[in-house]
Amino acid sequence: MEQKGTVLLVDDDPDLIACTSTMLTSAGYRVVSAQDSNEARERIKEGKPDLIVLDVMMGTQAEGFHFSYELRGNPKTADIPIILLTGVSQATGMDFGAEKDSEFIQADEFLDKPVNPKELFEKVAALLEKSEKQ
Amino acid sequence: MSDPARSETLSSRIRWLWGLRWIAGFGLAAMTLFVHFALGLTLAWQALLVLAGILLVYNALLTLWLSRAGEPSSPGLRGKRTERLACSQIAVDILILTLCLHFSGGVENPFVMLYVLPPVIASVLLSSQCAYLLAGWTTVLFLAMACCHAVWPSLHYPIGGHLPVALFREPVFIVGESMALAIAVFVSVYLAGSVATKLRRHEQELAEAGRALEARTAQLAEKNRELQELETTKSRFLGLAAHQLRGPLAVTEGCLACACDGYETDPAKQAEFLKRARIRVQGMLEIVRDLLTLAGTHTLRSSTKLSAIAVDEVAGRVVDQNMDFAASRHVDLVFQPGAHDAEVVADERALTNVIGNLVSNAIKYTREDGHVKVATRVAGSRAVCEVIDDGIGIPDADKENLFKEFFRAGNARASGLEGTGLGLAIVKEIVDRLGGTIRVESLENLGTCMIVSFPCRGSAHPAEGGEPAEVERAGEVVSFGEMSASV
Repeated sequence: MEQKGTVLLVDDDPDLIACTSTMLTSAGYRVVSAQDSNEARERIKEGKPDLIVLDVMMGTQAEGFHFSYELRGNPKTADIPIILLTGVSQATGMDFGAEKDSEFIQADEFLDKPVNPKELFEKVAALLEKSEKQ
Repeated sequence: MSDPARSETLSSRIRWLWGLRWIAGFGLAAMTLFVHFALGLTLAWQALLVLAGILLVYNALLTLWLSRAGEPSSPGLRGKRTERLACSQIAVDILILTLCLHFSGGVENPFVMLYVLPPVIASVLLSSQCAYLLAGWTTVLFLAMACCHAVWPSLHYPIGGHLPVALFREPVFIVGESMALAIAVFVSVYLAGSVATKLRRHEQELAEAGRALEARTAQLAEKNRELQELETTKSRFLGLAAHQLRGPLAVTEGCLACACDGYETDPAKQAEFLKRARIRVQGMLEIVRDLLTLAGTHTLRSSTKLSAIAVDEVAGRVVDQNMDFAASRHVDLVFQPGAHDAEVVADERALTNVIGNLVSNAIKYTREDGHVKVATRVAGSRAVCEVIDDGIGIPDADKENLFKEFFRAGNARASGLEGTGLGLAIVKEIVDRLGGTIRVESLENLGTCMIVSFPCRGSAHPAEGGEPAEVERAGEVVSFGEMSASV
């Protein structure tokens, strides 16, 4: 299958990395994974990904948010589309949306856990297509 | 009505009597002049005017004296003084009334019925003893006046032109008038006193009901606040529990999707996903088990399973049960009994849960070739159990949250070892409900000492807050680095 692009998957749960990675690979993407933001920086240095799927809560409560800010603040990575994986919406009452929260949260899309594979594929495809046009 | 309140009411009523007395004094003078000059009836008007003057002067002196005299400090004394003052004032009023009647026809004066008023006022304001005393005083004065006039007619001052017959010398008339007056006075005092007593009782009951209502309202407000706090705690806990289960459920869903929906086609890898899903389900079962244990702790205080339990027996049994676990992790586990026959009143299963959780945590977070010691002792009236390890310890920043539900210290999470984060919350809940205390001493990378204490059977439960000083090991610092030497 022709590779559609490289996705960097950042999540501290190895089982979640295995599932999401399998799903994306079956859809034709090349998947690189990291379990925290430090490892993610190393993976980015080795090769710039086309898209990043980033878990919000890793070692600390908001590590994903902080890392997304860092990526957007770096000119080398500012253009990489980011999908934030979040399981906080019902625990905290916060309901994230790309349009309404784009001012405060540096991400292009949000996905709630458990990840729906079809929804994941649609958002990844849409963001990559948009990124190619720009 | 309470004594201070009653005394206040009485004082205000006496001030009202002073006001009435001014009216009475001026009224007497005006009436005398009217009767003598306007109606043309002959009266000893000079004597009556002098009496009016005496009444007014007496009232003024009384007002002056009372305004200068200090109030007794005790409310009880203040109440008694007010009552005596009122009683004596009314007695003087009755005397002055008698003198007025003496100078204005005596028993022939139609205003004889005014005698009813002072005792009735007394029965409303004062005690029934005072009121009946004044009723008696009234009857005695009237009889004395009537008898004096009958025996010594020269003392009688008639109202000229009023009556054609000298009734004051008629025995039948005197007796009849006296009996009528006595009956009127005493019956009026009784009736007014009964009504006044009932009114006072109703007022007292109302005041007490009002106070009880205020207290109950305050209690209800406090209970309402507690309920709201509980509701908030419950909602927060439910949210946390659901969130903790959601993570593993999300992963289970992902693994099953990969194995069953065609995303993974390699049978070996499909089997691997199913295995991961199963591990996650087992983890969720542990969380649910711990949640149920935590839920069960609320019945501990009223549990019929409370009994006297030997601490050494329970601690020894827990250590035996954990020997295999310790061996599998190459951790040396020892038991140092020191509580001897000391017993605590507790639910045996709950106490086993407490010590079991602490021991299994100590083993889990101690590296290979490490040491865990379980020691018991008696400190004063308390039985103490200490679980000491030379494991990974607890970071200072995490200590204050250690007993919160679903909390795991940073280094515990980073260790990769599984845990629900509920074990210590369960321990704390059980310890609190059994009237015990728990304390932690720990240094990161050096080790941890968990100290649990319970009151021994027969001793009183401690006051809330803080562990008794007798449990502290004064001057002795737990040296985790020297654990192996001490064991």
